[in-house]
Amino acid sequence: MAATIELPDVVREEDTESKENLDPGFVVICWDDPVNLMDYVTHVFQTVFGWTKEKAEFHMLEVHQKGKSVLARESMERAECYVHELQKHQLHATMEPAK
Amino acid sequence: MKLIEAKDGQFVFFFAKRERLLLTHVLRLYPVGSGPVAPLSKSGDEQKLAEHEQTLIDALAENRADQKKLVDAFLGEEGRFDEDKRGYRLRLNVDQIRWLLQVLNEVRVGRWVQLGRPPELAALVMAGQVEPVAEMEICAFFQMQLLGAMGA
Repeated sequence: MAATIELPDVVREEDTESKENLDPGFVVICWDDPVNLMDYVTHVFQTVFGWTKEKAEFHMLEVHQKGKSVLARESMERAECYVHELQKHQLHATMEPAK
Repeated sequence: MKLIEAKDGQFVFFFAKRERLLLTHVLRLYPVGSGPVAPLSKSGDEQKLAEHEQTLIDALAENRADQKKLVDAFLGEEGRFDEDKRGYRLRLNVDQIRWLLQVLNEVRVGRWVQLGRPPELAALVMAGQVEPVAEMEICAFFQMQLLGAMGA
């Protein structure tokens, strides 16, 4: 004889945060400098973010031509982790509060 | 330095005797840097981020200490460079190339920071700062060879 399964009660939250009220997090930015080789920057983006060569080159060129490129938008912890990795490779990377 | 074989993630490079000396010279400089190349954040709340800034400094110091051990092991490893009549052969896998790229770039960028982060190097050469600029260019030469091999 099969036992009956008692399902848990479902409590529906009536109040939810609007997108605007959620923590916007941080953006990870790579800034231009005159010392890191362009091919090396592409290589680091591929290694750290697991990007394709095309995507990594796009961001490398944005750094080179526009002075900076936003690489990711993340929670504080993940943004910090990315900055650590990029700086271990000597890239001029910072995390800034997202707007 | 020339790539002579690339197969199944293994790369064999030929080094002229002079090139091996130059690679050894720049690797022995490691670590050149002593802190982060940039602050953790340019516009974040300084007080809130102070602890995180220190974490970055500590993480980089720990990374440099670990890398230094690997550099010493690399330079001291018997048979790492196979000698032949014309020079040496160095066999590296992908992870070793990535590691070597990171170390060479640390030396290159570290020298640049020591020189005061100049926007260009030519003026420094004219001012007599030939050696550190040459060391930066030697690092760049080896980096380009390694990157070229990875893209081959």
